[in-house]
Amino acid sequence: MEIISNLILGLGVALTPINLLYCFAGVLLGTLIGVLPGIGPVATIAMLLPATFALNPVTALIMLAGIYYGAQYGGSTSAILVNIPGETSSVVTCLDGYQMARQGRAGAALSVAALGSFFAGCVATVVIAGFAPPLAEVALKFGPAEYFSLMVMGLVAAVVLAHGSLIKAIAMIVLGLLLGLVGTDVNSGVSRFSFDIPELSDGIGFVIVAMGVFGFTEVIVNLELKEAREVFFKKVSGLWLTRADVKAATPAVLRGTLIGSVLGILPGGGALLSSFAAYSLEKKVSKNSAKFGKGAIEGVAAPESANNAGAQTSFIPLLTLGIPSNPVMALMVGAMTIHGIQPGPQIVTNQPEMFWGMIASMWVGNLMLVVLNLPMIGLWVKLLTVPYRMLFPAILLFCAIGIYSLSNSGFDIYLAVLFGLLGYVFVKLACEPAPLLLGFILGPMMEENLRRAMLLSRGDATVFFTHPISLGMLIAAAALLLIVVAPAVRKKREDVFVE
Amino acid sequence: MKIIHSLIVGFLLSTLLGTASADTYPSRPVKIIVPFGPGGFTDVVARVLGQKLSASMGQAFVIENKPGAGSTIGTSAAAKADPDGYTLLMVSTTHVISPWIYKDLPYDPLKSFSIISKLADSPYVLLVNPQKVAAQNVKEFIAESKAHPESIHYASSGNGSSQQLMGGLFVSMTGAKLKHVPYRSSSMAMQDLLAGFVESSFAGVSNALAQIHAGRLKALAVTTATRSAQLPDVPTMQEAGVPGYHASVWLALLAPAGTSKEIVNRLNSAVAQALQTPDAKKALANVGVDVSLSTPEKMTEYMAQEYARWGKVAHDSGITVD
Repeated sequence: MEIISNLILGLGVALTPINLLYCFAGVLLGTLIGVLPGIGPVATIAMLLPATFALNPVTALIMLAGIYYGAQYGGSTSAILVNIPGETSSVVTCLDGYQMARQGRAGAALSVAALGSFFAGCVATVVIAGFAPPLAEVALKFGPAEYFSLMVMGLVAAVVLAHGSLIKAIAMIVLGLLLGLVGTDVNSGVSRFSFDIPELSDGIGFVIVAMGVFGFTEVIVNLELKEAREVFFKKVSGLWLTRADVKAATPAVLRGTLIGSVLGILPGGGALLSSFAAYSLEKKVSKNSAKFGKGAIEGVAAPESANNAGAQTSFIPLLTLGIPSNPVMALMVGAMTIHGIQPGPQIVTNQPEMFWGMIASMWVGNLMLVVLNLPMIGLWVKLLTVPYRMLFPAILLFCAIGIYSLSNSGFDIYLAVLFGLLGYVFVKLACEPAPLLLGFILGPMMEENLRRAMLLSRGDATVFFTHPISLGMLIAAAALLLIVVAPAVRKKREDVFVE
Repeated sequence: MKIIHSLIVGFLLSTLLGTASADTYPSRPVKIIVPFGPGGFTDVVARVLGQKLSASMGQAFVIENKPGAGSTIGTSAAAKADPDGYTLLMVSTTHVISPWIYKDLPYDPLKSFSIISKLADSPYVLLVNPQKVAAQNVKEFIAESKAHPESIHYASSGNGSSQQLMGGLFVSMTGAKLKHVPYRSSSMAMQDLLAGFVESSFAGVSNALAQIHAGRLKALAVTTATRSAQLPDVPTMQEAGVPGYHASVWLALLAPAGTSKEIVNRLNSAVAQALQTPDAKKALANVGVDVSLSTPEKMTEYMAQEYARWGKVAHDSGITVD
């Protein structure tokens, strides 16, 4: 059992007092920045980078990794309590988490998020320990054609996300696709819909749209519905999970963990996509899918497990191939190289203490996070009893600070305000923002990979069918599409989804 | 007691003389604008430099990332700042490439700035995936590309990126028939190169080291005039048969035009001191850049040459971003 001896070696490193201390510092800081909307791990890790200079490389990496997965825990807190995604990957948690909070079940939502994340974190750690090198090879099988087909499948699945009318869901996806087109086209270098505004030339940031249509919109809506808010403060009940909750959440956590572990490996937004995917799947397979969007506990458990598992397994391409799968991982590369470590296939053999120490620290860190977060739940729920007239200026201020910190640009704040107003219009029209966000993420990636695949195949469109992985995903997408549009099924779908 | 005494005297003196003259500079925190996102090598070098300067000059040097639009957003913010030495700008080769690609910039890459110093050079390396390309050296690589025109692609981090221009320069000097494939970032380009979806790429040495040592990628030549310390066995382009090819991605520290000569010189020597300390040198070597310093005058001259050179390459390869 090589994996056990390796993990023991890793635990030996992770459990030294100094590493425990820095691991704790990392997860604590991560939880805090996770709770604060907008302020994300990228800015935090960048600022701490020079400070890690004096540390032992393993200690430094343990702390920086702790910030990252700590933020995934914290991100769900603000999503559940005030409908503001604290981290990009907790956007989906808003959908049902916030509804649970409105029904006075914020405590249960926070508990299931923390426990689901803990479970997913532990499983993903074992996945990294046991299968990192072969999984990295799988990630390499994903070329432009495979990514395109994956995005097609994602878009079809996006339709499932909405719980209103099908037409409106499709309209929102298309609007998302259009918003994703803004900025310089990667393939041709042509600037699209940027109106000669330099800030738009790299496109609109996901966080800006998400904060706008969730956070700012929510504040506007709440200010309009004064009485409704007051009702939901008064009936904050049971902090803990009931037996029925556990029964409903357990399979959701398991499926979420599986999806997160798989999608996290793929470069390009693994953790984020995985939470969307887990939610869609859960909604499809769940017996009470009608409850989704109205406070279903599975709708919190699945995406939260998925994003934490994804955050963890996104270390795989970094540790085994030296390829960062997201901006945080790019910073980890920076942190490693500054200490003279070349991330890549040799790490496991050349620096086993570092590799296994870091992996073991993730398990230790996850345990710390759950211990840290569970007692805090009572405190967080109390926050809901703060009168809204005092709470909302604070929410807006933190949002604004967070958005500004993305690229030190005031323009981004104005843009988010604009999306907030747009989101309010959506609420009035009963259109869901979640499919819009998914279209916004998937659209540009789909276009980019379609054109890259065509460029590499010299205009031969059969590549999408001759690559087996790509073909498999297209077939799956077609099957999904059939289910959605087939008349008989559609009728049933509408019965289920229309309120 | 003596220390406290001298501290008090020092404090009084500094408040008395606390005006914006070069003698007291810096008397408040200095901002270094990095027109790229955090984590890139420009950012890492800026943070190492900022930490060193904070220690040696007694004031905080704060890094502010202002990424976007091929570094032009952060750069125009710096160009508009007061030329008092409290706003500095960290640029890379992109600074003299973007003006050829983006229309109507609100600044002139040379005239809008007082150049403080060159900081570093970063060699690039021509990489091929050995499972896709049979060539063992640059000459064979050129021949192979000519024998099968446009079947060899080179991946870059986007239109107008230095990775693309390194390739564009190579194509224009050798007549190799390579086809450019842009990606959103250098790591995405690297991933597809490793997987063999694209055949070749010009990449920063530090990004490729691990893969070269593992044998998954083959390094044919480095782009600089001298060999890279990290890849001593890899020939330079000139040694490999492309006479006249020498290019690197450099980093420089600038201030808005009109910054006083005294402050520029003061910073120039402080930068030189900071980057010549062994730990700074080592940290920079680790991220794949070699410390390379110069006087303000020399760097001003060099930047003008580079501006002309990359302009020609961008023009020859037909690169535009709108």
